Amino acid sequence: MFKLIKRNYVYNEWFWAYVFLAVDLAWSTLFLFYPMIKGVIYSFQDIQLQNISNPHFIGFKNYINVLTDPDWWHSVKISALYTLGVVPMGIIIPLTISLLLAHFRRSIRDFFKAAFYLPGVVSAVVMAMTLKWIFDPMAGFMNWLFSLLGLPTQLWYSGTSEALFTLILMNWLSSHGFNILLYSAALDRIPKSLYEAAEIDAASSWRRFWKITWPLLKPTTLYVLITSVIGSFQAFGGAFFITHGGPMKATEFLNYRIYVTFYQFGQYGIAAAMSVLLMLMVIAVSLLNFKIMGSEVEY
Amino acid sequence: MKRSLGIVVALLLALVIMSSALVFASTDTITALLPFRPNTPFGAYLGQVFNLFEQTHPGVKVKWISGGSWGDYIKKLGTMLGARQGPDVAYGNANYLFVPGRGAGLASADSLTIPDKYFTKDERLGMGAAVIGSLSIPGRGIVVWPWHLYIGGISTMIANEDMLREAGFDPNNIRKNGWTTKQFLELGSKVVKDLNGDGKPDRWLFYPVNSDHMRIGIFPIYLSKKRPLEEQWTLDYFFDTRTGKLKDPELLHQAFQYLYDLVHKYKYAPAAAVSKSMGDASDAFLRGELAFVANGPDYLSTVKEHNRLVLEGLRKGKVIHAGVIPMPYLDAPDHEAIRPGLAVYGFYNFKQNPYKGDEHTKHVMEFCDFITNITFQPILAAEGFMSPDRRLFATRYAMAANLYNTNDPSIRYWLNDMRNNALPSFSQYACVGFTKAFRDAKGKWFGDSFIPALEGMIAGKLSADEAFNRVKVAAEKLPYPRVNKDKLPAIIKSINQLVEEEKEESKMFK
Repeated sequence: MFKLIKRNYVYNEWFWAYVFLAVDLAWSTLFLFYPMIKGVIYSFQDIQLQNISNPHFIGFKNYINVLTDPDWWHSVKISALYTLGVVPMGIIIPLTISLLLAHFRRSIRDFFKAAFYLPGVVSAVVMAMTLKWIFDPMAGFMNWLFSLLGLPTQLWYSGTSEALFTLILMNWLSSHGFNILLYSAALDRIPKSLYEAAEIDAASSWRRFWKITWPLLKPTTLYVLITSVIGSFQAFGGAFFITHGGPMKATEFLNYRIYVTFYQFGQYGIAAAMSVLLMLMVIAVSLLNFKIMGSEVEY
Repeated sequence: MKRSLGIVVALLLALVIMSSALVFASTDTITALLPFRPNTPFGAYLGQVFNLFEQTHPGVKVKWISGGSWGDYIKKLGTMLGARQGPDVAYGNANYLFVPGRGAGLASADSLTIPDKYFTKDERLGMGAAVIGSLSIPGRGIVVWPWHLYIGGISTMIANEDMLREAGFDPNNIRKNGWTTKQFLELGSKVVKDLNGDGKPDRWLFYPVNSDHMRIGIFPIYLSKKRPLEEQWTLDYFFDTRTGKLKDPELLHQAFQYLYDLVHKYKYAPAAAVSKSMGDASDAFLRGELAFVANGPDYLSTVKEHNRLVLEGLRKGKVIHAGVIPMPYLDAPDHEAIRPGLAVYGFYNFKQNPYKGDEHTKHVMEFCDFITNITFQPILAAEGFMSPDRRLFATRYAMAANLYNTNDPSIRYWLNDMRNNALPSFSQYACVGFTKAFRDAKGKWFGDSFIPALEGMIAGKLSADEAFNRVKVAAEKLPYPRVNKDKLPAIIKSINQLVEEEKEESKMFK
C-alpha cells in the first residue's frame, strides 16, 4: 500500500508542489481570502456596533448610502488629488536619483541606495512624528528655515488649503527608497552595448534616454506606477498620525474615511461597502494603467 | 536496543503531551481589559497585583488585554461584547461600560476640592447612595468597587496654577466661587505673552484642538444655561430629547462666536494648532506653554511625574503646579455655574454570555475580591484614590452584596432596588428616545459637519456665522422622525420617577 502511495505521489513533483502551495494557500485563506469574503458579506448587511451579534441582509442599501453621500465623493476627490500629486513624483524622483547614482562607482551607489532606503525601515509612526515636527506650523524646522531665509512662514498641515499639499510634500521627501532600488537594479540590467552603439551613432544623452533607457525601464515603471497608485489610494498614515483627516476634512482620504466610519461611527456594514468600492476603484485604475502602459512594455 | 529506545522516547513524549494537556486543562484564564499601559506607574502596580493573584491562586491566570487610548479602549470593549467575547473584568465607569443602570452618577466629593456651591444639599447627601448605586447592576454582572473618582473632563479643565497666580487669579477662589467667561478673557489678556521677544506669543490660554476646542470654547457658553434636570442628564448636548431638534441654536451660535473671538479676535489660542492632537496640547502644557488643557484629573499624575523628573534632573523644564478648575460660565441672567460632574470608576464584571461555568465564576469573584483586598490599600491611598474606609465599605458590602446576603437595611434596599428595577440612566433613555435612523445620522453629523465646521472656523477659513450656519443646515437635514414618540411618555415618566427616587434615596443617608 505504502509502496503504491510512494510510487504514485511521493516522486510526483505536482504532489509536492501542492503540498508546499497548501501552506501558503491555507495562510492566504485564513488571513486574506476569509476576511475579504467576510468584508464583502458585511457590505450587504446592516451591521453596527449596537447590533453586531444580529446582522441582517439589506441588499445594496449600504452601497447606495455610500454612493449618495457627498462626504464619500469628497474623500474620493482628496484621494485622487493625493494620487495625482504623489504618483508622478514617485516615478520622477527615484528615476532621476537612480540615473544620477548610475554615474558613480559601485560603493558610492550602494551607500546612497542604503541611505535612501533607510527611511523605509523606520517605523511609520516615527516617520510621521519626525515629519510632523519638521512641518510644525508653530515651532517646526521648515518655518524656522523660512524665517531664516526671510520667507513668510506657512501653516503647513494646519491650513485648510495647505494640508493636502503638505502631506504630498512629506511623501516626496520620505518614500522613494524602494523605488530607487528597483530603478537602480533595472538600470543595471540594461546592456551597455546598446549605449555604446548609440554613442557610435552620435546620439545625444537625451535621445539615448528616450530611445534606450525609458523603453527598457517600462516594466519597472509599470510596476512602480501600479504599486504607487494602489499605495496612494490607500494612504492613511499621514491623515491618521498628523492631520486626523483635517482641518475641515482637507486630508480625509478614502482609507481614513473607512476607518472613521468603522471605528468612530461603528457602522461596520457601510465601512465594508466603502472598502469594497475602494478595492474596485483600485482594480479599475490598475487595469487602466496596464491598458495604457502595458501595451508598450518591452520585456 | 533501538526498539527499547523508541518505546522510551514515545512514552516520554506521551508524558510531556499529557502533562501539558493537564496543565492546559487545569488553567483557568481570567481576561481583564484595561486602558492602562503596563509601563505607567499605575499599570505597573496593577501588574504586580495580578502577578500576586496568580501566585496565590495556582491554576488561574490573568490575561491583561491592553485597550490603548480611551477611545480605542471603549471601541474594543464594544466590539468584544458585541461579538460575545467580552472580557471577564473591564475598567471604567458604568456609562462607558454600556450599563443600563444609573452608574457614573455623582460620587462623594470628599477627596476632591469641589466647593459646596456646585451641589445642592440633597445632592451631596445623595452622593453616598449614588456611589452604591453604581455598584450593582442587575442582570449584567457587578461593578466591583468605586475606587477612582473622576471629575468629568467636560465640565472642568486642568490649569497651570502658577500662571493663574501670576495673573492675579487665585485658583482656590475660582474653585470655591466659580468664574465667568469675562474673567476667563481677562486672564487671557495677562497670560498670553511673547516671552522671547520675537513678536509671536509663546504662551497661550489653550490649544484649540480636538476636543479642547469644544470643552474650553463651546461648552462654557452652551452648557451653562439653566436647564431642567432631565435635560442636563441626557448627555445629548445638542439635540432636544423631546423634539429631536437642535436645542438653543442661538446659544450655539453665540458659543461659535466666543470660540472664534478667542482664536481670531483676542488671539488667546493659536489657529495654527488646529491640526494638533490632545497629546500635543498635553505636552505643550508640560512645557509651560499653555494655561489650560481639557484633560481629566488623571492627567495630574502625568504632571506629578513630570515634576519628579524635572526635580531629579532627568528632564529639562520647569516644575508645574497644576489643578482642576471648573469651566467658566456665561455671565448672563439665565446662566449658572457648570457643576463638575463626578464619575465613579471601578472594575466591571460582565455577565458571562455564554456562561463559562461555576468554577470560572468562582475564580473571577476571587479575583475581584483580591484586587479589592485591603493589603493594597496604602498603595491606592498613596495614589490618591478613594479613602480606605469607603473602599472597604464598597468592597465588602456593595461589591459582593448579592453574594454576602447582608442584613444592612440600606444595602438591602439598594440591592432589591437594583435587582428588580433595571432602570436605564438618563443618557440611555435619550438613546432609546431617538429613532435609530436619527441616532446613526446625528453621530455622522457631529463627525462630518460639526467638527469640520469648527476646524474651518479655527483655521480662519470660515467666519463664526458661516461655521454655525453649516452646522445648523446640516442638522436640519437629518432624517425625521427623530423621536420615538411611542416610547417618549414612558421615558419622561421614568425620568421623573428616577428624579423622585433620587430624592427619596438621599433621605436614607441623612
